[in-house]
Amino acid sequence: MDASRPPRPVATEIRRWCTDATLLVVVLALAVVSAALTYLAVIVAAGGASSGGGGVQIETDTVLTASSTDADLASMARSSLTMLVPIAAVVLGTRFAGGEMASGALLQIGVAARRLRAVVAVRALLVAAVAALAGAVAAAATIAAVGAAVAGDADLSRLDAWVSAASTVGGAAAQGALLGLIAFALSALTRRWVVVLVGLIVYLVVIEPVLTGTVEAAGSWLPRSATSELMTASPDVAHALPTLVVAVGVTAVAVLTLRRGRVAR
Amino acid sequence: MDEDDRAIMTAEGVGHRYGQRIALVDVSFAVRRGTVTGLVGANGSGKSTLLRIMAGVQAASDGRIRMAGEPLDAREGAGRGTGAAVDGMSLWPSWTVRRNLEYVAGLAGASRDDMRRAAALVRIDDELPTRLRRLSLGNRQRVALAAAIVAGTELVLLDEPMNGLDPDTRSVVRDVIVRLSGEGRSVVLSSHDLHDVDAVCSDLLVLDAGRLTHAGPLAGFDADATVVVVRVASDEADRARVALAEAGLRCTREGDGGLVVAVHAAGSARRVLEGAGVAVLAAHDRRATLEEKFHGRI
Repeated sequence: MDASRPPRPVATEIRRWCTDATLLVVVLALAVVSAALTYLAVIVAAGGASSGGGGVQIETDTVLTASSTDADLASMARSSLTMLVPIAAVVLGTRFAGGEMASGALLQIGVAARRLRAVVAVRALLVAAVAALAGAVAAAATIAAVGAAVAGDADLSRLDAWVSAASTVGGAAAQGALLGLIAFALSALTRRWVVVLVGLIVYLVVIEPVLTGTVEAAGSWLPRSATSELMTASPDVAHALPTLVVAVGVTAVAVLTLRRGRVAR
Repeated sequence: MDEDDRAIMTAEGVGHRYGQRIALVDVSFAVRRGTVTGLVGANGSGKSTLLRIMAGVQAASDGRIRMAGEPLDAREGAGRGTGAAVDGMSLWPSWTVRRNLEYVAGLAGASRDDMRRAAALVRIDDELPTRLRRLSLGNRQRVALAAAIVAGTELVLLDEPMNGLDPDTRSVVRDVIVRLSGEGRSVVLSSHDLHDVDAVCSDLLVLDAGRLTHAGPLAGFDADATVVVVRVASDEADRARVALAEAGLRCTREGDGGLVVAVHAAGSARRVLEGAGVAVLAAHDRRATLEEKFHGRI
């Protein structure tokens, strides 16, 4: 690269996040934890090992037998992904905004950036891309873990239907992208990333499961349930549309309402 | 060429309120191209608010700022070419100096060569591979200054850049400000240290409780103000100071037994001292320094 050529702000923003090591850590940690939990769960479900001896208690209602199908194995892979991918997406979304959209760093960006809105819009797209990558990598690693867990058991079928694997990977990517975008946009709008981080995790882990159990008809339309359904082999995509609208809408509001003159508070 | 043509930035009736609290009232001035403008005033006089408004990151409640004739908030890219190191602004402590400056340069559309030149100018180029949080306060100030220089191709806004710096570093910062002016950039320097302002500024803005009480050449600020230097015996200096203070006259000590009595007080100082029974050994007038003028006003 010609050293004297002025770099473009958008390219600068992309390069900045692509060289951020903490994002790689989050992506890899998600994949490793999801794969490890699923591996242990499959071992337990297949009755091949006791789960209580190592200090980590793995419980599963699923019992894998010789008659278990691809769908059963894919379901086991999804059970950890649907819990961990949303949390990782929220962490990534707030990470992209946190410490920046509420601090003196935003002042620095506000003064220096020639195209402030473009910088934030690019950042939103990067959030979606990185959270999608995290979901996809975690899904791939988790499916590989299922394969590894059943490999030594001649009685169990193999998770070899590409449709199950592809839908799980694609669904996890979509779930990561949508929830990551929502987390980023809410953090940018409120400039209170810690509140958004805690609030969204409490919602995903506590409130939505309660709502889903209480109002069964509405449950499948809620963000975590609706996006988790995208990982199934034949998802009802319509259920995810409200979440898509919220993600795109709140991101658009966050970008379009950003005014340089409101950066300092 | 009229005044506005020569101005890189103009403020027209700028006012700002924080809720019920009034921070700035009807502030109008022009920052001339290639000059260093001092911005002085007591704590809470509105200096930092004015700098943030000039940097474009805080919208004024009233009035308008123009950058090179164009309203600052007219469009996304308008008014850029401004760099700032203002109150509340921060860089990224966990990044290296190089990464911080490259990021700011990239956002501002400056080149890596510009970044390297700015680092060299503030003499921080040896620390480019060092993480910002490992630097001393003085070196972190230099990095903040370099970031402001990289982005500020037209105008550099500096809020108390000398705070906490040792004399050598202060000297470096003063030299940098003068060099920037020599390159044709405009600098606005907010400082409580009036010696620094006196040393590097050609223009001056004085804020008093949010109102601009002076805007123009520094030499024109109370241009005729003088102070009287009265010399008394060393053992009577303290008694003389008390007498002058009781009469409402500010004074500082200058040399052995010398007292400098505040601006505008020349005529009455001798009478007060003689009334207190302090013998005046000698007295003469001299032109007031900026600090003496400033204290004489506020």
